[in-house]
Amino acid sequence: MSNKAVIFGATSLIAEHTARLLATEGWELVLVGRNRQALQAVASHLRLTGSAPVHELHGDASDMDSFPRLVDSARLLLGRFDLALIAWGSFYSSPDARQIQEMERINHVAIVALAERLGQVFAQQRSGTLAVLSSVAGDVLRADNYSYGSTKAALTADLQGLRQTLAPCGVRVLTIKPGRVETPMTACIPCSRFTVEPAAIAAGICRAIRRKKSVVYLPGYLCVVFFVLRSLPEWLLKRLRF
Amino acid sequence: MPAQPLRQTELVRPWNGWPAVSQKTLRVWRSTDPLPEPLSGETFLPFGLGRSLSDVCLNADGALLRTPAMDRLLAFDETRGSIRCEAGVTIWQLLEFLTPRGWFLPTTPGTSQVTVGGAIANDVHGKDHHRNGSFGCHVTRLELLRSDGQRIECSPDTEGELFRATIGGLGLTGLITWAEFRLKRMPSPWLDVECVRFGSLEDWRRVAQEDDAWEYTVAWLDGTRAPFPGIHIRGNFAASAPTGYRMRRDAAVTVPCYAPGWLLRPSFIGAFNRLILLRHSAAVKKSRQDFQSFFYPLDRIENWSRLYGRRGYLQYQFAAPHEHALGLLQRVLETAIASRQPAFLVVLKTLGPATSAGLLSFPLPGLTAAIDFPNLSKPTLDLFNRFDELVRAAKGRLYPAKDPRMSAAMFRDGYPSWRDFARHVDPAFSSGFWRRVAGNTP
Repeated sequence: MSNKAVIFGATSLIAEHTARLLATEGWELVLVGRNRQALQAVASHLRLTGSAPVHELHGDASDMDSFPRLVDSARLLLGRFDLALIAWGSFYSSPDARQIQEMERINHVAIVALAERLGQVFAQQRSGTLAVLSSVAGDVLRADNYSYGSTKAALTADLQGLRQTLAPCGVRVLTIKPGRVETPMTACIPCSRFTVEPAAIAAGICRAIRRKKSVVYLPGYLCVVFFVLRSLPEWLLKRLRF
Repeated sequence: MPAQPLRQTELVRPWNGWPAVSQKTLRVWRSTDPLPEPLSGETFLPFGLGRSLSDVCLNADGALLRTPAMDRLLAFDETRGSIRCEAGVTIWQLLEFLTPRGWFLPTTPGTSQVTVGGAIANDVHGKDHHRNGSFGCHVTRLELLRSDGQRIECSPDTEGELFRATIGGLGLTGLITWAEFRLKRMPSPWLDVECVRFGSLEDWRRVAQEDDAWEYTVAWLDGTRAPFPGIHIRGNFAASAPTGYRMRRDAAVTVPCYAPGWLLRPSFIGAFNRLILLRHSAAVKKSRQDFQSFFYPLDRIENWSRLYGRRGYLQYQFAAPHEHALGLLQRVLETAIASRQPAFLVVLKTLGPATSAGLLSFPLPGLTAAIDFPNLSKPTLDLFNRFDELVRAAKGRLYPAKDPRMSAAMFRDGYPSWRDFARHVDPAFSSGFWRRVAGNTP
């Protein structure tokens, strides 16, 4: 019997590349996305390269009332989930009040609401992995993008709580913390030599799922970098403005 | 999304490492996205994986369009043997998809690290040109995104002129968003390979006359000493062989840094070439190789061009009609030896009669030779200028994808249809190469 996964925000590049890896390994997929045309383009590539069915489901992160229905539809299509990946995200480099609100709503409130709903399903199954894209931006906030960082910090914290809640039911929660990735979401800030391709992040996500990790930094060396940064005193951090 | 997408400044080098240009880049994410609005006087040039050896992939005064996410397969027709994919799909991606299904590319260049868009824009050829022509011969349809916002589907029958301009069109006719091309059946992932040693260019001609039964052929020769001995390599896909081949993903070795200059002394270059010959002491050596080793030997070494040092290398690749070609090659190599700049690597290939639709397509019926030199700046460029006179006398032409210094005169002589081509160039597209060879001619 093939593995089954539902991917929220499947038109994001990181999610698309993760889906490609899963599809070539024979996973059956439900892709959830807002833009139907973009979703179809992702799905048709996966249908060519993969062997198991790929389903498309229209869903919008900003419509929180639809989440129960969305999860039910996905469950109807797949029967059960081995993996749910949430790749929703919103990013503004110098946001106004409305944009801060949007980031908070998408990056934190919506994802946590969905994660809890999925957590209930997983808890009933008594198995499965819930993988959520957070960010290293939430580990130590930067002057450049602290509004974004704070939404990710809140998300990371919530996932930590959820992980403990679900652990007794045999359900794993994976917090994914990528560094800077070359994707349309962050296209408004220049790439540096630390920028990573989405395909490399996707490979890291699949590896972390296989290894049953709780938190994964991608690329891996960021684990050390942010361990050091987190342990710096505020007066030093203030001067570094890294 | 901001109204005007971010223009980054990046240091971009072609694969040979020269010239390095600090220049603006822009990203176009999806094949359905519109082109960005050019700033006043700004021009665009599509950029794939930057494997060309010249400024055909650079646009110093303008911007490069990068398309890192245009990498999806769109349709695969197993009965007709054709595939449609976005232009940023790489040869590697196609191999990974096609070879387990028993299909292969219609023809392939010597590296899998090129995009389909790049393969079309340079109308690349491979070891089977004498039979199958260049990549452009197999393209059936493509979509061009022009700077005026139009999306034009071109094929030999519809928009045929624009199609002919786009095959080998150096990315100047607009952004290719997707392409459809025919595939070839692949009986097995293995090839039966024969390496035949030859003692001179005349000797090579004799050996190559027996190539009829071979689908893939190429010759390597020692260009450091007359009469230029070498090895003629030819292969056919094995009719049937045990399957279950898994493609190697990673390179076997990585060149971590630029090699020091003393490695490239003439004496070392001579010794290196002799060593290769020594490894092939038998007159005829038969073996069985997997397709990756046979077609893409250098993909096993990541960043191999760093072996040429920080200044990189320059390749001189010409094509000339049969009657002049071997004499021309001999004169070129002798000139190089006389100026104490022996060729590091010489590769020789017969070009077949199949000409592609492309107006600027490089292959012509005859021979092509690709000759690599370490880049010594002025001495090497002077040497190439002397080669130019020899090539012109032999009615040959140079390969834009390999030549960052080709003069306007050499280009116009080699490609008489260039004026027809120029009419199809998108007004908002240009490249370093194009500005040099076409100047301000409309």
